[in-house]
Amino acid sequence: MRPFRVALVVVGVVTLISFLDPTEAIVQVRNGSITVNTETPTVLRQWDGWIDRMTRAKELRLRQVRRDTLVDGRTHERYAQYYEGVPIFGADVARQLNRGLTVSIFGTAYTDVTLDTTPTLSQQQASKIIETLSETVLSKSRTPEITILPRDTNDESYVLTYRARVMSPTGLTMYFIDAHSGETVLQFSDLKTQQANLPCGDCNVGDATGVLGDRKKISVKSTAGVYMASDGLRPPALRTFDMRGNLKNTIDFLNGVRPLFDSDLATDTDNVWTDGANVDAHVYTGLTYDYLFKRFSRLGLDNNNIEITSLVHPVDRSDVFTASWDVLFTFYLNAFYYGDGIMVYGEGLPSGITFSDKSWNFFSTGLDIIAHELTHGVTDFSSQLIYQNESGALNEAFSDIIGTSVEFFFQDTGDGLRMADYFIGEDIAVPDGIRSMKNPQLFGDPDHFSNRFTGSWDNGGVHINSSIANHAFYLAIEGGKNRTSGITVQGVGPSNRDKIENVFYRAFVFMLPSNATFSVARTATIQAARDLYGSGSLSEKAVRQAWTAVGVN
Amino acid sequence: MMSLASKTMPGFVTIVVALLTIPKVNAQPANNRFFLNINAGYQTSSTNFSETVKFTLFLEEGDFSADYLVESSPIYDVGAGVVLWKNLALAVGASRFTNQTDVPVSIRLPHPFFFNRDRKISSTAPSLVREETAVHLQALWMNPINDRFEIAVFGGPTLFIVSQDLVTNVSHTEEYPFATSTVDTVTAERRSTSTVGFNVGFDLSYFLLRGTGGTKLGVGTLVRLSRASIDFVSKNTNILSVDAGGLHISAGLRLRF
Repeated sequence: MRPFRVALVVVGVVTLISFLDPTEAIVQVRNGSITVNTETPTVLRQWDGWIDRMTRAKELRLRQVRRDTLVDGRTHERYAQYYEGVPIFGADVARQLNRGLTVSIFGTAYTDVTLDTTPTLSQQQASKIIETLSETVLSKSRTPEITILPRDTNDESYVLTYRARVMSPTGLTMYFIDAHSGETVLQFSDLKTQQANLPCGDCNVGDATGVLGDRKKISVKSTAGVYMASDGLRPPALRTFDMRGNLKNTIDFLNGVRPLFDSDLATDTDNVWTDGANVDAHVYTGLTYDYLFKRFSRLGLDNNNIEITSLVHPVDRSDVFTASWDVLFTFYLNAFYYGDGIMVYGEGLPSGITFSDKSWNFFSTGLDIIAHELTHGVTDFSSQLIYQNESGALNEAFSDIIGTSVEFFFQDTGDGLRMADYFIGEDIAVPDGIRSMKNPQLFGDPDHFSNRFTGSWDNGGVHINSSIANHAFYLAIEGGKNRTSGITVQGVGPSNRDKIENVFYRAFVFMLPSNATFSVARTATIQAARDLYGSGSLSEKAVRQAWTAVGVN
Repeated sequence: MMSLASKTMPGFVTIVVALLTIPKVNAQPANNRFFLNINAGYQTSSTNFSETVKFTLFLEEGDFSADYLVESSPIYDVGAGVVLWKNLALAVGASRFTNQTDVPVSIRLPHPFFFNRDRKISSTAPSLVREETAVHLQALWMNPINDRFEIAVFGGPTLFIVSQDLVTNVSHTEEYPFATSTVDTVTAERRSTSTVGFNVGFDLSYFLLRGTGGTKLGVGTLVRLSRASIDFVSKNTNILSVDAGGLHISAGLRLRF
């Protein structure tokens, strides 16, 4: 019997502090196309009780508890849904508590799941299949995990699968293999990318020059007269490795086949650093950590000071003319977050070579690019927004939002290189970068939900539709008129940009479930604005108006 | 830098000149050959100076500045002399001055991650000591006004031996995010040096008792300005010029024999 499947997306945004505040909750049943709106906290209480019941039944497992660093007394819990001990992909719930009282719930849960959770294939057999598909070798630490995959198709079914993320010269791919038949049920690029298309004893401060010729300080360590790109001044280990153009070493490391050694670190003998790509990767990683700490009191990507590993020069620029298209667009014209705090920065193109009428510098050159990629790590350790369709676009948008915010935090506002603006990647793709938050249409991206990309390319347009949320963020700060809807937004102004940054951070890190939609993002950011600045605040109005202006209701 | 002592100079000179021009109503030569003065009093003038020590930290120049204030303090003074001819005498005096003050220290620390983003912190070096021992060689013109009163004016070179605690190091603890820094200790070292300056002043005596052989015992007050500029070699090997001496007002016993 085909299992009946109901996916409940609970967007319970209810302020329970006194039961007097206006409340809002939405319950959506996907595929059943049921949407419920309520102005009472009843729905929230029901779902609060549901979480407790499911937890007692061990169908929800608490996977994360975070103290709220923006509002005193608040905590955020994240639960993952399991069926007979097997995780259900994309099923999770985020609950916000105020000293034990539930304030909001966002999440997706699947009811009436029925399937046999005993796989026919062994883990080793699944590994072999995935190795064949990806043309790589998986290490023991990268073996596939058994996972229930809800199928977003009309037949509404669940599939028992083996899931694995694999790095290959063609990119980072998430595979779902049917645990009985071995067929590929789903695969998509899981490369969270900046696509072209698209005080210790050995601590030291070096004198460094970035790719763009800017002089800066670099935090390094010294051993036996050699200075290494290992930051000892910040709480986590921030290490930058120079892969010296060796793609095989890069891929072997990413797949867990080969470890990295201190000898692989970017080094300098006189502490006057001149390899700009290494310098910028190392310094900007530090600045991104600083931003997260100073703005949100966040301790790095996982809020627990996970090590950040940057891989620079994964390929050699001189090999670009013989590189395959896959390698070109993965390791030259790209930067990506691999997972587990690991970053890879593309090599760009040799001087004088253009692509899409732009020159392409080392991808570590852009502060917003590095912050963008590292923010994928923040997402990985918080909402885990699935890198497909709307949730994938939100994943990308959050990275653009933080990337741009880091620019404004450290750089002077203005046009041109090394200036804070609303272009993305303007320091590496010259001129004008690869996206605009101010005017997405400049790059053919939608500035309104009605114009969103609905095809399957680019994982459902994650780099395209991200511009809708990007533009909402821009409008909430700067204000202005949306070109498509003609709706004017009264922004909070650049001097209050920190408020909108806090709102989006709070919503995206603490509230959004892994398969959030734009609509959920709207509701969550409005709730976050209320949490932080009060109901009816200028920030809440700006956020609400901005989402409305971009057609997200 | 301007010391209060230097501001007192014109007034002091006026007083000395006025005393020298007092009409000698009953002018008579000093009839005791030797004299001894013992005083306790106050160095009324204060002086200040500052020192900035530069260092390199995180590729940039930083510094710490110590602002020293030498305040008014008690002095002890003893002097003895001999009349050489008529009213002219030669004397040797010694005075000692000790001052102890807290010295504010301001520190400018370069940032480990950024150029031109200094952090400014402050601290205090507690109880730094200034000691001045002065040996005054004086030529005196002793001017008895009557049997009981005597005025003497004097002047001459002074040998100053000065010790000063100078801040030599500030240790601090750096911690992420390096928005500021915590001072652990402020280290000071005592530097001593000597130089020659001058002294001028007057002494007013009132004799209460007369003994056999013309010995007289009385009381008196001493007003003396002594001054020198003294050079210390500071931590960063720069010469640090400091004023020594000042205006002394003291009183004590007078013995003529």
